[in-house]
Amino acid sequence: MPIVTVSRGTFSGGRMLAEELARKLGCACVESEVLSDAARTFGVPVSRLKAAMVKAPTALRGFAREREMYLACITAALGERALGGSLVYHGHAAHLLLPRVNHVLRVRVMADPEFRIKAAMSRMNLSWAQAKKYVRSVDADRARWVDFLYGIDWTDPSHYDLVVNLEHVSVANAAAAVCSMAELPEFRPTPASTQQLEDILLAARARVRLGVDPRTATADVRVKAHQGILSVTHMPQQAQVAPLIPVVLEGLEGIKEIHTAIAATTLLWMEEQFSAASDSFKHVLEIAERWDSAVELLKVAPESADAELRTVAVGGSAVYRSEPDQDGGVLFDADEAPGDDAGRDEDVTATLDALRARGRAGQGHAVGADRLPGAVDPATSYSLVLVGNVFASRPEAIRGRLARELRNAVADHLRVPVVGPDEIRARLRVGPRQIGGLAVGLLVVSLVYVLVFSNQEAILRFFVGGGTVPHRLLAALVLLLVVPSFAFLYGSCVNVVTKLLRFD
Amino acid sequence: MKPGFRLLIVDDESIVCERLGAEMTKLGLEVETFTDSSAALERIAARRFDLVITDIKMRGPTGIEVMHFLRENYPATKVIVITGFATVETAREALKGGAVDFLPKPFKLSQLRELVLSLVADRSAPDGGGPTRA
Repeated sequence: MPIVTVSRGTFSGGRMLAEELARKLGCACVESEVLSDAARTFGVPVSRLKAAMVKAPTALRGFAREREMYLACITAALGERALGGSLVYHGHAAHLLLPRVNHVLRVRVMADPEFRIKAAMSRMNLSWAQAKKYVRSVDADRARWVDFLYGIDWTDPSHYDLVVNLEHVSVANAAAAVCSMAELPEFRPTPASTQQLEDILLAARARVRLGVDPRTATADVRVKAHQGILSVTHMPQQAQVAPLIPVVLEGLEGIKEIHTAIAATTLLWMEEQFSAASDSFKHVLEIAERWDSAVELLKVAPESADAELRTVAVGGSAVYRSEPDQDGGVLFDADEAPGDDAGRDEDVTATLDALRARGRAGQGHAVGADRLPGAVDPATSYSLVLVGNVFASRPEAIRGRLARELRNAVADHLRVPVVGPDEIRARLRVGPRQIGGLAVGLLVVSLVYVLVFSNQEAILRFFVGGGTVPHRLLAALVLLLVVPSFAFLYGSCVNVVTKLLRFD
Repeated sequence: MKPGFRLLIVDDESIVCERLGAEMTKLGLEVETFTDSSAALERIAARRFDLVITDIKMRGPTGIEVMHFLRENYPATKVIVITGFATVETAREALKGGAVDFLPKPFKLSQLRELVLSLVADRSAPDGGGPTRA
């Protein structure tokens, strides 16, 4: 019962190969649009996503939630078909929806660029130059789409079991070769690979159900399944959804147990201007992933710019339209279109989106600097506060003082460690200097150990044997100086090693 | 009122024609709507329109075919493509085919209204030119 996925570019012959494969294997041939249609039935704005990719690729940054739902929908659709028996699927890198399902044969189809251009000329009645431009544009669009969905370069051959170039081999012979490979033991389903497929399908179905139900649609959750046991992790600020999750998932086929868990803690990150491309974002994300934390953003506006703490509206409608066809897709102005609400603070929404894509998004707020730290709720379980670049409009000397005062005030108010960007960088960075220091430190430590254990008797005689007061004073002085110095050196080495091992 | 600005809307969903037709009529445009793309093509052949708003996937001739017909016979007519079934290829094809814009469903009426008003304003401009967003 092989499952074959054929990843193809436009006019590359991939569709023909997939159809021939399906005919030889006697199974269904499914194309990517069928999966997209499955997502549409749940109101995922697939067309908006794809049009944004063509018209304004940067706009895709605001669609993290829609992306997550899209992936869940198409995973569920593909998984259901894959569990049903043999299947040939053709589209773009969809085998990534079924990770570690070993009986999926992943095929990439390529064709000579000239062949593809000629095919475009013939089918679309274009000139050579127009066809070439069209094929290149569609290839670029596809690459962006796959990168948006999966974060990979889909042309990388390492993602496939077999790459087929139809320049010199006919479709029929290529299909015969693929069928032979599909019959190999490596691509036969096993109980383990079938279980993996069932787990993926169950998690996807659960995610779709949670995303569609209005009671849980706004929750940022991560769903995993293992042998019928579903684990749903939600963010600390969304604890109210925890009792609703089992209710919403009730009756979902394949569930034996449901475990809900809360992301361990929250990091509070304060900035005047957030950026998902900044070093601070990378550091915060690294800590959040190590500590299994959500990240809450607090935008610090200049004094008096914002009177009270306000929650920043996050882009993207979380409630999917369960009957999208009733209005024909034409909304009155009072209606909300998915992905329509950009919010006032684009940097916060963009950064939250980036965090959401990694399953780490908490809430976003904005407040005037003069309202801090009182505006922050001390009842929230923050484990760390990062105060980034604030008071940027002030002269440097004043900026530094104000930032220090803010950090101290926040630390007093919340009773948690508060750090700045330099401290975070120093905590996480392991560069050549630290490596060099570690090498020297380890050398000295080793030397001291060798010297001490090679001269144990002499050392003991020095510390124990002398009876005069000057001698005892000298021994005490040596202990006072050497032991702490050695301990400091040893501790520094251990610190660098634990940073290298990403051990907190 | 926008005297003389003729608009044709073709979509096989009657609700779409109703909503768009009502909105565009409020703007003072001369609006004709069709749920049958064959009938729409016959009408386009008989009368010049300033703007055609068309769906892509329809039972008869597709929106792409409507666009090609307009490009060959009435190149000055602007086209806006609306669709609930956007793919990379159709988006590229629509924009390459000369569509002014490509609106994936669902969209708000205000988005279309702004776009149409900008085209009306461009037609009224001294040089009579229009934007090509593609």
